[in-house]
Amino acid sequence: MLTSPKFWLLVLIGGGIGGYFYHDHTTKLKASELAVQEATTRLASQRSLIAQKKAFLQQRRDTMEKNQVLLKAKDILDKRLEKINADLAQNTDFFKTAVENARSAAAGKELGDFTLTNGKLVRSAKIRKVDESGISLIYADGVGTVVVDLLPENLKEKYDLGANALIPKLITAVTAFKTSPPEAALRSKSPSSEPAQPETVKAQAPATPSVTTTTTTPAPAAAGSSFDAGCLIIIKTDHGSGSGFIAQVDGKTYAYTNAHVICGTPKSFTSKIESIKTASGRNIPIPYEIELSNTYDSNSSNGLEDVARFPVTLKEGETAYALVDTNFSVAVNQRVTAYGNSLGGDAVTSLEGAVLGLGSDRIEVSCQIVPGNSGGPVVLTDTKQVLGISTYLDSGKSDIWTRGTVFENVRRFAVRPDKVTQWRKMQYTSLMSSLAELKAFHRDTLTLAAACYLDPKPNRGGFDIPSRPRGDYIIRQVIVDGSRFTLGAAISNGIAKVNQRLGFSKGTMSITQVVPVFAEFFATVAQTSSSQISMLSNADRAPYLKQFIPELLEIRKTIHANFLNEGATRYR
Amino acid sequence: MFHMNYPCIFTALAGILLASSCDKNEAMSKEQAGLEAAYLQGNEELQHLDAELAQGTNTIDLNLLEQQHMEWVKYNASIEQALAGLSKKCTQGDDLLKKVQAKLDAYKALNAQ
Repeated sequence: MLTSPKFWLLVLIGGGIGGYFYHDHTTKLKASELAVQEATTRLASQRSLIAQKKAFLQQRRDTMEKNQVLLKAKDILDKRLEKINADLAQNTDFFKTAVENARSAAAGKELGDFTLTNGKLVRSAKIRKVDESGISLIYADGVGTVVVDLLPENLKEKYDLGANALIPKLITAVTAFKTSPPEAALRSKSPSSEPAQPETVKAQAPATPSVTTTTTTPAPAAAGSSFDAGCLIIIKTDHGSGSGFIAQVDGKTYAYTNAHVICGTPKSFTSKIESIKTASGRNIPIPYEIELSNTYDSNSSNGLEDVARFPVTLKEGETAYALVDTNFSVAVNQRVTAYGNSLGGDAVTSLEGAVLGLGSDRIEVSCQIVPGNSGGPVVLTDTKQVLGISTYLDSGKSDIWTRGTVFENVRRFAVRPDKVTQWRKMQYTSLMSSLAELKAFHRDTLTLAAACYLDPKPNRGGFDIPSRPRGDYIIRQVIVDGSRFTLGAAISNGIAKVNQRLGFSKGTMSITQVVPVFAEFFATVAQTSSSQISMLSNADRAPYLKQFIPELLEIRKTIHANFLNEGATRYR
Repeated sequence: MFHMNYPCIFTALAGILLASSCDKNEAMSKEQAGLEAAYLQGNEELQHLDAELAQGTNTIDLNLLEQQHMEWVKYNASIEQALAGLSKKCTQGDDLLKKVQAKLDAYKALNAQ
């Protein structure tokens, strides 16, 4: 049997078939193992992200709860302090009444004989009247007034007179108590990092314009230098640095700067202010509220919309600049000095110059201001009156008309802060959120642009294997800068749905089955993008931010149309 | 007899091997499907978490949220400081009030004589 060729032929065929199937199954098994391994890793990373987010949420809840408890406790203590102040005021009034009653009841009272502090004896004295200046008496030798200093201590004490009188001391003590801030007081109106109140955060209402009208007061002219290190400030954000100054307007003190110093520009919107320091080295807390100019001319760019301010507190002995009166008559060639953090050198420079040109809301100056000076004051030389805020440079123009003229060179402009009549208050955190929203919108636009070329086909069994030459790409998740964002999430969720519906099917699906699945993906993403466009179109923003919205929308709308076109034609 | 059945034995062995391999493959596919399902479920959970995170903040950027959270933490710290200051001031106020009341009583007593 074993020598029979037929037998060995059968063994060979059997072995071959077995070997083929074994190899095939081993390969599939390995592929499955790999897929399982990949899915496990993905799942583990997803779970880790979930755990991270859950932990953060819990932490945030705890912080919010603590905040509520602390605010309640503060409310209780505030009320207690209020009551103490009221009780003190009431007791002071009681004391005053008691003294007044004692003085008025004194009229006609017999004092008998008593000795004055100068040794003189007053005989058979009777009180006529008691007041702050002393006691008017009828006595054996006639009628007269004994001044407080000559009165014996017992009378002074009885009618609360003289240097040791209690009422003035009491009023001083109570006033001092009432006006002294508690130690480590909450920076009530300008905490360094007070976030938005919870209700405000949840409501997320579009910021209501809080319009205030400002009339500038004439600035007292200061003799000598205009440079005041305590009033000139350097502002640093995560996207650069600029300048500012402290000025008093209508009895309030503000730090003025350019809106672009605080907010950045579309190329790099600010995420946070890192520090605000005076040239003298004092740290100014990050403001709780910021006011952006609500005065602007839509036909003139780089104007008053680029002014921002926030309240600051002056320490004792510190002075501030003042804005020139809004009717101040500026003359061409007027001497001015610009101060600022030139080129972000962390030192405030002094740049002398003159007014070269006048506009309704700005001036052109010859001071050599450069980037970094933005937000700094342009003051009338040798005074502390601010005429402008260094705002922008124009590169000049070189053509046949300008050749040889000053207009070939860089031109420097400052806007007039005194011309801002309306302001829009925003919480610092709301402002940063608005900036983050604009930034996210632009990132979403870029993602949508990328998504125009995406084909979310799964690469597992049941459907065509994607092919790069055919233009198929696979996207599983959209992550930018380590974070998911609105449209990124919409795209990745859409892809997850496509995968879910196509991933478990057996065999190749017909194009008629596939088209609705992809159509849904495109429709979902398109809808999310549409609602973003609609939201931003209707957004109410301060003029400085609003000016960037048309351009952001225009780019998005072009890409959105392209995406719709892709979705409509790709799977026909 | 035994020798004559060698081919059958080989075929049977190959079949068993194949069958066991198929079983394993099927188990793997099931496991993979399970993992995918868990992943999709996780995605849903993430969406809910993101919705909660983004509530009122317009962002699910963890870095930005953490920054905002840090602002809250700092704010809480400043309230705690303020509470300490307020508490101290209340104590001082109570003391002052007691003194004022004592002086007032003494003054009234003096004038009642």
